[in-house]
Amino acid sequence: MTDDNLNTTFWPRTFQERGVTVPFTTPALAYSRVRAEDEEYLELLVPGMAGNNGVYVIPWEALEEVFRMSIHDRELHEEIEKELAATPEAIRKVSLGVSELGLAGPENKRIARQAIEQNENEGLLASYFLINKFVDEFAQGRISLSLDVLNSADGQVQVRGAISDVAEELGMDSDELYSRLEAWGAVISPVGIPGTPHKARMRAMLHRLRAYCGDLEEWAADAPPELAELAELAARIGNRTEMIVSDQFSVIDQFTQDLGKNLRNWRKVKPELQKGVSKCEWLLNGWDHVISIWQTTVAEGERPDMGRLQEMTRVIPLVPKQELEESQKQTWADLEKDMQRNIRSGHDWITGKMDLELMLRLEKNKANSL
Amino acid sequence: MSDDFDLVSAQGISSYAFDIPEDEFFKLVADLEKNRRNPERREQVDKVLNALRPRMAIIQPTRKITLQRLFCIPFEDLLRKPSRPKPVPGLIPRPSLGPVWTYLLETIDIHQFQVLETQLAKTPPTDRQAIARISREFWKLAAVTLKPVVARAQTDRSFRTQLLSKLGDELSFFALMDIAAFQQVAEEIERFKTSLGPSEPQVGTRLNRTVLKAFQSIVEVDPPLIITVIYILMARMGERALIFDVLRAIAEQGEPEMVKEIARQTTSALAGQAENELEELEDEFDNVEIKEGLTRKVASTLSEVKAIRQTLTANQEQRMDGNLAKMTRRITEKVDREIISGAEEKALALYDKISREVVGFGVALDEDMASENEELVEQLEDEIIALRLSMTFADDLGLGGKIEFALGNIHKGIEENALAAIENLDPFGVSDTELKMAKANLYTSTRMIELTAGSEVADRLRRAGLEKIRAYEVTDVADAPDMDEAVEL
Repeated sequence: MTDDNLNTTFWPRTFQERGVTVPFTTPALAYSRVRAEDEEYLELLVPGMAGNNGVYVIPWEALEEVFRMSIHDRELHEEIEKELAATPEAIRKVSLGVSELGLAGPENKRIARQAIEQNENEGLLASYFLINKFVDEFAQGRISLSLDVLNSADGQVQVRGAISDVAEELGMDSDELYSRLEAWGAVISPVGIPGTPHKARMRAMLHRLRAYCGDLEEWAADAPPELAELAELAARIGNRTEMIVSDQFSVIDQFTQDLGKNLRNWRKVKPELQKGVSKCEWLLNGWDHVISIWQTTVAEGERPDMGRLQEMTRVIPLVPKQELEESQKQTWADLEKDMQRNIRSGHDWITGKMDLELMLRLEKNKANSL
Repeated sequence: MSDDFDLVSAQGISSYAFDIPEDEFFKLVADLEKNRRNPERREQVDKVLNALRPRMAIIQPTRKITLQRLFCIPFEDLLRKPSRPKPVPGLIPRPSLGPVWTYLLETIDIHQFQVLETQLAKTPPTDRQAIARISREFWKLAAVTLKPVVARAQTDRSFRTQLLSKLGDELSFFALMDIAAFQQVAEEIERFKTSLGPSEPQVGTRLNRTVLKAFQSIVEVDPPLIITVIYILMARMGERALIFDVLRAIAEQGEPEMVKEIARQTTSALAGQAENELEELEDEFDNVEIKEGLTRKVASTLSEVKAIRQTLTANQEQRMDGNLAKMTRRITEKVDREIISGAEEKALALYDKISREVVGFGVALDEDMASENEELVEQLEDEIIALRLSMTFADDLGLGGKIEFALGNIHKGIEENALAAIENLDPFGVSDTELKMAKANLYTSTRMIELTAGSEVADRLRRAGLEKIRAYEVTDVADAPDMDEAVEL
């Protein structure tokens, strides 16, 4: 590895340049990111390796030669390569599959299975809420919908029947209308629908991000200056990210305000929704690990110290330049400057403890972030 | 949340303690405290509040402030739930708070007390300045009340007996002595805690300066009370034995008298707390459910005790060191009996059960079987992880060889079984289900070997096993690679 491989900036231009956090459990690879070098090759960005302040870029196929990886990571490495996974959705899918094998312990296995089940349910739930909303708005009183009804073949026939008149008004047949509502639910399932009792995965994640930022600010108020500065910086970046994600959620949510029009224009609406959901996935990617570092520390009754705050702040994902509006860029440039100033080289958290203990801690972090 | 709040669901909420937005979290804590007033619910509510405590410590919801709460602030770091009924220097038993508070109320100038109580009731919890002022006044009042009590108890034997019977036990008597000391220097202690900040204190020039400054301010009040600073430090430092580094630095900075004043007390406190922790640890062996947690506790306690014993030896405190040595031997016996002996047999029996009876991957198991499988895997991991973690202190206890031997045998047993399971598949009649089960067994075995012998060794099994299974997956058996070659490690 030469210095040519060292990219010292925290602030990437695009999501693709930033890469996707891979939930590795090998301590030296913790919180590293994968990105596609081109259509056939992947590479890994490893932050703070060898006590350096920058980010090392390592060809994917060289990983097993460079690092002694945990069994979980070897399997994950192979699966990512097989799928050429380099998006948050693809990494999540592969990671859940590997966790389900039990290679990161029984807790991860259990949580992965629940997460897979939840993914499926969220698609169904989002469709249910959309169809319900549609029935409320356009086919009042013609059918009483419950999740059980929607989940049964008879129920679906009833719903199709009830919406057939409306479908005609919208210039579609009822099957087409129904399948568009289902597809809509599937596309937005990780974001869900506002005002509904179930908080979908990403909406829940946004909640966690807000709570985390609030906790850090509270904690910083009584912390010594050097620790407070780092905690406030982490909270500031979190808050700014949260604002951008919230805006993006609003854009997605807005589509449900005019169901009729958007169902008619479904061919145009679908890619917009897909793009919006995908952008949210990218924006939130990596934050679960950051929050998990903080929560695991606090929940175990440890007093957060400089080492832990450095570990956490070092891996905070900045929103890439291209994803920002002109008016936001100066604020983020300042945040990057503060990161450069505050993040110190070296990562003491990787030394001083036996590998097994660090691996078990990372497995716990992983379980918290699934 | 109403008064009928369902506490079962509250316990569920505790697992999401960090995901609840702040305002909802504050409301939850307030409602729980309201529920806590009902004696029948107190125990359950306390369980939930305990689960929420880590986050409460960070964001400090605005809980109702009372004079009793202000009274506890200076010494709250020292509060502990005692495991045995004997006083430990530098620790205050939580159950003693009640008797001490009742005694204070009986002896305090009730008029001044009521004035402050009324002022506090009118102060919004967010007005930090006003609360700080009331705290200072109340600490002074409590100090003035308790100081003569302490002085008399030290010289008047019959008063001491009377006081002991009023407080109920010796634990509360000693707690009163300590609490009285903290009330006298409460302001100085609060300034000291502010300078320490919320993180664990790290030994160095900055800490030395902070401690010296606290000593100097307390000496002005009453020199022997500088021990209160040491008690706070002991409660907050990760490695308490390092307190002597701080004391040495202060002595070198020209304050040897101050250090001399408290050196003996500090040593006794270190030894006393170490003894207490070893006793607590001994008690934990009585009911071992998860070995990993216990082993971690053994590791951290023994490492702390080791450092404290070195300090005791350096300070020529042979008697105290002898006590700790004796107790460490008792722990060694328990570690040997509860964690190491029998672990090999238990681990291999669990593995055998997992691989024979239920293999919960890819196979349509019913929920009960799947969860039984997971429990067995958890138990097996617990056995192995406890052995591995024990290696961090095993050599000090003379148990290193025994653990290595047990881990070696577990590794061997699992590996042989995993390979045999694949070998025993019928190449001409293997079903998809059998292949899935073999794969699941392989992954479980690989994980266990990783925990036992490391990832390099485990990966050899994984690769060989997968190669063999893939060979079976090839539809035309004639195209399959040589089976014997594939399983060779």
